[in-house]
Amino acid sequence: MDTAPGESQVAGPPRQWSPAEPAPLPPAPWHTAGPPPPPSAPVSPGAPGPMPPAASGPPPPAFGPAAVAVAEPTGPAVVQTDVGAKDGLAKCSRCGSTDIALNIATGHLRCNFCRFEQASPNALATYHLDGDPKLLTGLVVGSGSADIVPSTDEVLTFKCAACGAEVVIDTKSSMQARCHWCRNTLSMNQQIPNGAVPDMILPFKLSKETAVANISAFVGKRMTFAHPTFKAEFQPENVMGVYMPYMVVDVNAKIRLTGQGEHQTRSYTEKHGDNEERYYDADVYDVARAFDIYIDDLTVESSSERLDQTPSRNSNNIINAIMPFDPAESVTYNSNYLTGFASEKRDTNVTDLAPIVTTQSQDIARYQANNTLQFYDRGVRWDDEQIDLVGQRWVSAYLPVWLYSYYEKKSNGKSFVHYVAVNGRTGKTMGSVPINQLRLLLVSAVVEIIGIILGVIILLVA
Amino acid sequence: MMPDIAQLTNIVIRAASDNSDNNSGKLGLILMLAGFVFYGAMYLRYRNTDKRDHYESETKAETANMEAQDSFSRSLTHLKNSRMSGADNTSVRGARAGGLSSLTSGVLPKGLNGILPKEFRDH
Repeated sequence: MDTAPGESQVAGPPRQWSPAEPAPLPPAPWHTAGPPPPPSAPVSPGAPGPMPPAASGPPPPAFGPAAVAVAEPTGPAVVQTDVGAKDGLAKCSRCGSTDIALNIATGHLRCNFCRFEQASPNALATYHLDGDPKLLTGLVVGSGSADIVPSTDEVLTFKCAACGAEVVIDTKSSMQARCHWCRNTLSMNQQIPNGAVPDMILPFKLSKETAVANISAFVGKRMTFAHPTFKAEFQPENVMGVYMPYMVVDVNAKIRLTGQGEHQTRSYTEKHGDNEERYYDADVYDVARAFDIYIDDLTVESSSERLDQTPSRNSNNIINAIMPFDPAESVTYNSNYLTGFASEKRDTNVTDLAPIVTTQSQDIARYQANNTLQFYDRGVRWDDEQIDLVGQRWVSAYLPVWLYSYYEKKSNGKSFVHYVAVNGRTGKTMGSVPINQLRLLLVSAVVEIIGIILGVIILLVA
Repeated sequence: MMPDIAQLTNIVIRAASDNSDNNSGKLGLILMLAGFVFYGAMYLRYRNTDKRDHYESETKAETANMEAQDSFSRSLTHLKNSRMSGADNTSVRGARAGGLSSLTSGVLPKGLNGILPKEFRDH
């Protein structure tokens, strides 16, 4: 490995964040208590005082001056997150062995030779990336979230410090390799701009035995219409622990929503012949809300393959559905956490994911605004939504997933990979089970026939 | 198998009682679609194509400096729908998966979304 510590910091080209300037709301009577007939819920409390203005100049070097380096006067503040990281032999501090792996029971790294355990520090606290989102301005990114440089080598050659042999690590699928001469394990911990080493890693907390039990229980409840080949081949113990790449984002934004809301004033029935019809009267209000929102640890997949969640093509939504994680518990990256697990490499940049994060931030804001809209029991239609991103903080992370995958070869020649996934921290389980279509269609047909008979009887009686 | 049938029964009964004055007539019509509803419910139970991360409610968020403006515009009468037309304050746009629309195309008849109970509808 030629890269020295610190050399792999990639500031990337300056990224300009220029959300649309929000149009001013009408100067009409703003209040904080609710509409003329006031909404039943009070507005959410928050930090007093006005928000700082949107960042227009260079972002201040906040969140720990020692760890933060401002890369460009007009670019993002890049926080170096591989300070002190070394490639090559990562030895046990007590016995010198390189055979180190995660002890899921404690969450610490354990030497498999002398059983010495060592805890890794919390990543967000170590790199001062845990600052209050209220104080966030400009764009702050961890150095492990830097833009991927396409020409960066994925296959790297390391010189084994124990015997001098040259050992190859293919970062596409692994961050470690065993020296074929002296059997020492070589690790890659320094960041290079290929997305392989993230800012932080959230270790597995759930054991494989628990994951197997969760998957067995989940699939066991879905055996009636499961495909017979799947039932015959189902082996939950083949579950694999995978560290998936994500971006964890904090957002400080100003939101402005304008639209109309309806409040029901009357509900009544009218008789038309033999039928009774229900009608409603409602008052319509012009509604507007403007507020600051602070979002903490919004988590988005950073693998382009996992971002594609089209059910006709894949079952990636299953992996999406086992969120949320607890990324605040992540520790500083160490390849030894990956020992015995697989990992996927990040292949997207902050700029690729920014539209998703902005849209999801708006969704969260709309959801939060509902706390002030209970008066509008018929709903609110927002005609205009504006988000002004005051500050963002992007941190790349490996998050733990127990994944059982099943390759289904369909009769028409097409194939489909079904996943049953277990959150490696919470145990939340979700899955896709191949269906025995013939059986399901037959039973559905029987249900349909019974339904038609019952329906006709009811219609005749009515 | 029994829980599946119980779930179907629950769907049908709740769909019939949802904003209806002519329950028996609608129940009869819904029963005529029972096979399709059963297929859709089982498909979702096994494939879970409608499942996704509910970040909009599960992500930690805090609001501050809330300013509200509410001014009366007009009154409407004799409305047939219990919900405001075009209301989108509970809609989610950033999700890349989920909802009944994620069922394989053509499995369920168009318009089925409207007769399903709220929790089964695609928002």
